[in-house]
Amino acid sequence: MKDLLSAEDTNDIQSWIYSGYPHLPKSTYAFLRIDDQIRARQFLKGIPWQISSATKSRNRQAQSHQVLNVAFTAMGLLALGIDDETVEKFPIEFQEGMNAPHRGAFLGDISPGGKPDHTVRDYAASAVHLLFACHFISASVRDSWISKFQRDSSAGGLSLVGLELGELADSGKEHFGFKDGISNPEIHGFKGAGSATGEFILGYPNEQGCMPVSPLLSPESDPHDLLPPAMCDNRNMRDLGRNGTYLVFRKLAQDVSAFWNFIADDCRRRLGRAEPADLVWLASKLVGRWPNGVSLVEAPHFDAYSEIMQERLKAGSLNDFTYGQTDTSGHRCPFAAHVARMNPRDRIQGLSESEALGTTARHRLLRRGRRYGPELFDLKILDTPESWNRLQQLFQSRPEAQDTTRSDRGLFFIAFCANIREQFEFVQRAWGNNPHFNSAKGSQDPLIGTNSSITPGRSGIPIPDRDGGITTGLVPQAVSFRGGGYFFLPSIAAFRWICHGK
Amino acid sequence: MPRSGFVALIPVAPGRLEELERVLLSWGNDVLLEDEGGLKPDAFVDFRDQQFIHFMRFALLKVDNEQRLLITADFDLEIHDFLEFLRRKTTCPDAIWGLCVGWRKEIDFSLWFLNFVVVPEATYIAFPGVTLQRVNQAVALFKFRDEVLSGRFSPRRQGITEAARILVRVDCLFRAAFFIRNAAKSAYRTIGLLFSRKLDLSRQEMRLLWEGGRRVASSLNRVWWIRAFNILSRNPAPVAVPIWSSARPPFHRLTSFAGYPAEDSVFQNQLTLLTSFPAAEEARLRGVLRSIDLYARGLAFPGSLLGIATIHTVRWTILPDCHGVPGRIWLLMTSNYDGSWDSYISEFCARIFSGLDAIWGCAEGAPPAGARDIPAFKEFLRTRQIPAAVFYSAYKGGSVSFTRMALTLRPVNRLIAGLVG
Ligand code: HEM
Repeated sequence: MKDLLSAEDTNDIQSWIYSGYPHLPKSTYAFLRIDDQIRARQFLKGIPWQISSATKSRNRQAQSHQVLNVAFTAMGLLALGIDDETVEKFPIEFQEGMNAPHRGAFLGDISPGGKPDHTVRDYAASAVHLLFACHFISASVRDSWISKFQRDSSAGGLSLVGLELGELADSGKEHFGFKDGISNPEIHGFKGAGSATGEFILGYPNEQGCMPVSPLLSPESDPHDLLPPAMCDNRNMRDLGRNGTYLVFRKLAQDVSAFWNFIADDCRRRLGRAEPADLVWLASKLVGRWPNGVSLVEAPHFDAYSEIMQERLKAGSLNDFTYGQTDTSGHRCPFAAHVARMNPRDRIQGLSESEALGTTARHRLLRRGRRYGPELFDLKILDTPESWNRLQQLFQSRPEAQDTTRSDRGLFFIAFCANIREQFEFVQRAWGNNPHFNSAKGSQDPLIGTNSSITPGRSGIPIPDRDGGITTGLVPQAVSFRGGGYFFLPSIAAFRWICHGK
Repeated sequence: MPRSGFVALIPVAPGRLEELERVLLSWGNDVLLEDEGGLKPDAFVDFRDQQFIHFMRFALLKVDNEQRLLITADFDLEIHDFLEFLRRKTTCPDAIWGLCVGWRKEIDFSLWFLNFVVVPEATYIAFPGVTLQRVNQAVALFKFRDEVLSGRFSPRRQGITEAARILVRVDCLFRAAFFIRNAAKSAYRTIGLLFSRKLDLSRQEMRLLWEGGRRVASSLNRVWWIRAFNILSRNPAPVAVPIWSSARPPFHRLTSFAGYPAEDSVFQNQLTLLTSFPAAEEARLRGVLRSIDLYARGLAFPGSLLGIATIHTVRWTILPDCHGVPGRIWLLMTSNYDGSWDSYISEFCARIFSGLDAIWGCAEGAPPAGARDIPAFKEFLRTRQIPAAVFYSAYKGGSVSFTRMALTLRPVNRLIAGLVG
């Protein structure tokens, strides 16, 4: 059930699934609409040669200065002339897309009454057909790619709906100041250990021994023999999904000053002061890691020069921990912290440690996010106590004055999963927004919860300790949804099939 | 006061369904986080203001073209007293009971009502015999303990906080005592059941019970005594051959969001599930359910159904006298559980899929791969789920696992409360 992927399959998988390209700090996400089906198809036929496969990514020598990946929305497949019948074989969440009103309500993007909670949509996602995501070694390589791409794509019958620029900071930090992109599942098919391949790649069994929903086609639909046969009991069918996956894209604006001012206000409310150490302590309790990425479970107190912190940072082993053994009661890393909600590991109330691990294994996300916009302040100051004073100066007075470029920064949350419903939507909804998940005591995820008036009886974030602990005030909505969509990231073979049509 | 409960299915008078629905929907629903906000509707059963109802629901459902009003309740009274309570609390009986078949002002409410009470095939109650008052008291004591420990309660009486902190260190002793007491109780109950007349089964029934039990147990090797049972009775775990998910639109499309959209943000939730089976399966199904019932009444530990600690109560009822379609029987499942629908179902599918397959494997419309195919199984359930018009839970804020902890540590917490005086 859990085999390594063959060379043929690895060659067929888009390399983004294999790697987040840490060596390519710049990225761009071009959202396109298909205006002319014939020309677009012609244009896209030239693309598979440019898409790099997981094999290339694995083979470090071949690492290039730019890497392209392409994904489709359901509307995009239809716009390319794929018939309804085929598109209807995709899971319903992909067909409907992230912006369907009831899905928006489900995700907390829209209040249940249908009133949009975030009126701002940076682009109408329903019009997006294609995502060209490209990662670059430098901004200049990116710029030249973009100008060439703009020419080529418009000649190819495509129009650019949105162009987003992402980056990976040297420090690896997101805008609130915390190191991001540390914890990601390993895929068994690549590494020989980790999550079942079918949790992240279609066409393979998942943790339940079940093949994720993937469109199976009759051999007549594939006259050029481009697609691989389906596995198991469906060998006479062709599998359009195999070696592909679903991609979740969310543009999340971060109001950094709202976040840190809330932290400062809350310290003042409880302690009557806002010492820098208190600020960093509280913010880290909400995230579940220290700003430098070390887990609160491993280093319950911040001491930048402590042995454990130095050792973890040096070895880069920031992710070898669980909660169950060391932190059953959440005194170190609160249950309600972002990372403990998004991946509770072996600590879910009512389940034993091994049961909890089994549960989390079915709801994991392969994250490939990048941030956008300039830093509000030099985020590295958070890593050393000597520079924390700066923080205090920044957030001592009322916020409005400090941030004139408000909301011009944030995170492109990008995740792969084989089942959007059971992975992304489940995590967002049943773990992130659920006020009763795992001792949340009426609170929602401090970073990504709807944290608005939608939830009646909402309360602050409980931070337990030996003496009972504290509850913060009501967290403001510092992260807001600006638009996004569900995409199908096909295998390279499936890409060819899509461009050829039947 | 004994703890009991019932499932009642009252036929709705022809043509009165919409009227009844309108009335019920005005009562407030804990799943939808609705509160009647002090405004009492004209026609109302004002049952919320009491100390003995654990859960209650009203739902409207259609079985073989007959409309019925489903009422389920869990309470700490004799059923007659409870029905008397319902009668007294009904403000405008004509507008509620009057819409059902056979009700008239002159007749005895309890007697009329009892006609429609059906006996479940299997019942599981997380804390059998524990009254709501006792639960509330244990929870209050637990919260009090937190207060004392935090030192906030009596900052000037540090000594008490210190003493409490020392007492808390011996929590494990109380947990052990709780465990031993329950183990003894389970053993006693099981032996009692085995020798009771209730189990007076024919050989055929015995065989079905045995087979049902084996099927339920086959994927439960993580529970040590079931593993022992499986080894001894040569009951192999189902082979996990990879299978294709059969969750596919348009089946999918129709149903994604039936029921309530808000089912992830409530503390307690309810599931009312109506599934149909070929009548030929009846004997087998009864065997399976009986084995579950036997387990739930005997071996089950408080607050845990085979290690699943989110269920407050669940009842499976094979509906009697449904003659609409010959050759078909109906199984009604009513449960009250903690937290999100998604988690609840996922947890079940992942951890006791052999149990779910034993029950629903041959239900009409069940996914071919069974419960292991979680997306398809969820769709199967969603299409057969009936939203509650009224749902009430007394456990606002108290999950099964929290309640269990509060009950376990009640003696220590009483001591702590005693210290404070
Ligand atoms: C602007 C919004 C967000 C910010 C600032 C943010 C920040 C962070 C940070 C600092 C970490 C710790 C680094 C790590 O473990 O890799 C993290 C981890 C994580 N986040 Fe987020 N995040 C955001 C949105 C989301 C969303 C929308 C989801 C999914 C619904 C999500 C899912 C996760 C997951 C699964 C982890 C890994 C947890 C683990 O495995 O321990 N995040 N996030």
